[in-house]
Parts: sequence; C-alpha cells; structure tokens
Amino acid sequence: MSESPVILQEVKVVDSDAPLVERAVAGDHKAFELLVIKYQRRIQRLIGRMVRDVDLVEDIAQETFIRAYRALAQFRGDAQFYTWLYRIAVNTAKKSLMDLKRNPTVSENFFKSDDDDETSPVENELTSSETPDAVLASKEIAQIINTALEALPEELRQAITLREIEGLSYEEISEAMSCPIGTVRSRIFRAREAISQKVKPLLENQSGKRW
Amino acid sequence: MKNPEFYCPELLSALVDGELDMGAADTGLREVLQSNTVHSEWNSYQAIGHAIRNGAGSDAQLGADSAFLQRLNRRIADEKIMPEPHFSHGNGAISLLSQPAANQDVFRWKMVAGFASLAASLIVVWNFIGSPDASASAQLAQNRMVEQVVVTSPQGPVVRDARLEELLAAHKQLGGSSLQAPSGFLRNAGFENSQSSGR
Repeated sequence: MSESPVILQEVKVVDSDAPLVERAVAGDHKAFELLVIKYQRRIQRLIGRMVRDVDLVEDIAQETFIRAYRALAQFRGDAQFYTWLYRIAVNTAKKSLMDLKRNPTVSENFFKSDDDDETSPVENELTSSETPDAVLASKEIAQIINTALEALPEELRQAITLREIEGLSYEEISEAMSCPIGTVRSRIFRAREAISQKVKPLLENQSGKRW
Repeated sequence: MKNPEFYCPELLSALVDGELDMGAADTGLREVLQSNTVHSEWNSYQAIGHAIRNGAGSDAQLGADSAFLQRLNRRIADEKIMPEPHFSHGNGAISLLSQPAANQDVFRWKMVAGFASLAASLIVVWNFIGSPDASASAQLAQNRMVEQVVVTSPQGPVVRDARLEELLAAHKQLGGSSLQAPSGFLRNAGFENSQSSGR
C-alpha cells in the first residue's frame, strides 16, 4: 500500500475576535463588553502570576481593560487581539509594581517571588479571586459540560469537537463532515445550546450575580 | 425562512468562532448585541469552549464575573473615558508602540543624565589634553627658540641654528683644518674658470 505524500500547507491563523474587535473599534460598546467577558479570567490569571494581592489584581485587570478601551482606535489588527491585550496587561502590571516598590509602606507580600516557577501553566494556578470553593464549583461545571458533550448526538458532538479541540474553521469542518457550511454552523450552535441549558444556571450561581 | 428567534442566537455562536460575514450579518448581529441575554449566552459559550478544550481537570474558574464588567462600565461612565482618536503611524505599525512603557516616567531623565555625563567627560578630556593646535605651536615655537642662537659674525649678529653651531664647533676642535679656507693651490686646482665665490 503506497503512502500518501506529506503535503505541507500554509496555516493561516485567523483571529476569531476580528469581527467583534471591528465592531468595538467602530464604537460598539456591547462588542467591547463581550471581549471583556471573554478575556477577564485569562487576564486576571496572567496578572495573578505577578502580583499576590487580591485587590491589586482586580485593579490592574480593570486598568488593563480601561487602557485597551482608550486605545481601541490604535489597534490595527496586525496581531491577534489577545496578544495586544496581553502586552497592555503586562505593561500595566509592571508599572503598578514599580509604583508600589517606590512606596516604603508596601509589604513585599504584595509581590510574587522571582523564584516562582514561570513554567507552570497559567490554567493550573489559583489566582486571588479563585478561592478553593470557586475552583471546586468550576470543576463541577466542567464535569457537567463534558458529560453533556458525551451525551450529544454524534453529528453535533463531532462538529463542536472539531471546532473547539481541533480548532478547525467552519469550512474545514464542512469538508471533514461532508456537509454545507450552514449545516456546520447550525450543528455547532445546537450543541452549544444543549450544553448551555445545563450549565447556565450554575454559572450564574457561581458568579453570584446575574448578567 | 428561519425563525428570527432561532436565527439570532446562531449568529452569536458563529461570532464565538469568528465565523461571521460582517456584511451579511450586520443587522442581525446588532440585534443580538442589544439583547438582554447576550452577556449570559456569551459567557456560557465561552465557558463551554474552555471546558471542552481543557477537560474537567482544569483548576481555572469558568465563566466571567458579572460584577467585574459592571464595575468597569461604571468607571468608564463616571470618569467619562472615551476611546482616543485614531492617529496614523505612517507605516501602519501596530499600536503597541503607543502603550506606555514601564520606565517611561524615568527614562527621559535618565537620557538627560546620560548626555550630561558624556558632556562632562568630554570637557575633562579636552582640558587634560589641551588644544592640539596651541600646544603644537607652543612646542614648535619653544623648539625653534631652543634651536636658534645669535652668533656674532664679521657681518654682524646672525641668527643660526644652535645645533649646527655646536656641530661645527666640535668639528673644528677635532679636525677642523678641512673647514678652514682652502689654500690657494687647492682653491685654483679644480677650477679652470674659477672666480671668486663671493665668500
């Protein structure tokens, strides 16, 4: 049996935030809010690796999004939106740390030790706002989500798995599943809706407030 | 025709994946974004994606905190924060350049201190070495003064090279007969048409 040749294909990385960022840059505040919701936890975890203080992480995260909001018009789309946001967060955190170090009344406990393992994945580190109870609740929600995923009809499970885990575009999924792109979009939406019915109330209880 | 109530949430799902044709979906998306449930739906879709990608073992807290967004919006409203107008970088450089650096406040003063130190160093070096032209001229003048002497000759005082005078004097002392005026025989010997050299 002959082996098929390996064909190297150029992988085009598409920023999935592009449509939302475009609307936010055009002045749609709701679009900006969706970006905040999407990246809030990730930015807080990033800052939490640099700063111990609970309130300071929150403040720096707020300041990060404020700066991003101000500078939205300057974002030209040359890089992924999160890359741009990441740089703002790091710069904001560094500036805050420098300001604090100049303050003789601030305890060293505010800052993370330089000996902290930089290689530990961000997702596995508790941040200031992630209490053990909150993490336990999140694990429970994650378990429910994955159980609901397994319970989906095959075509829905396959579509959302190819999207979320494999990162394929709708076009690539339509080729893989031999169906139109509209059908791919519909299947992914139905998969999300089915799972969302089970976890949405739990998510709102976790945050303590309704949106 | 699709049920509008069914169609709009599908738009939001496509937006999660960045798979929206902005031109075609613009109107529908505007309605979606204005919906009262858009935050809740969006938050749920993001949490689902995170949980599927990372499995049930991740410690990361799922879902955003609604209070965070409310505080952010309150601050934007209270402080009247507005997006800054766009300005062109000319070459289309990414706006990361406009982000303030961590050492922005002190960098300017560090540059000033650096230039001041450089200028001070140059001044010290200049004073130590001195002006090259002046010192060379002075040295040459001094050498010239050392090298020149005034000699009394039958013609009167003559400024002559001191070193040459020393050599001539030494030569006369050691065997200066050759420097005396040649005898008449020798003077006329080599010159058939000799005339007075005017000496």
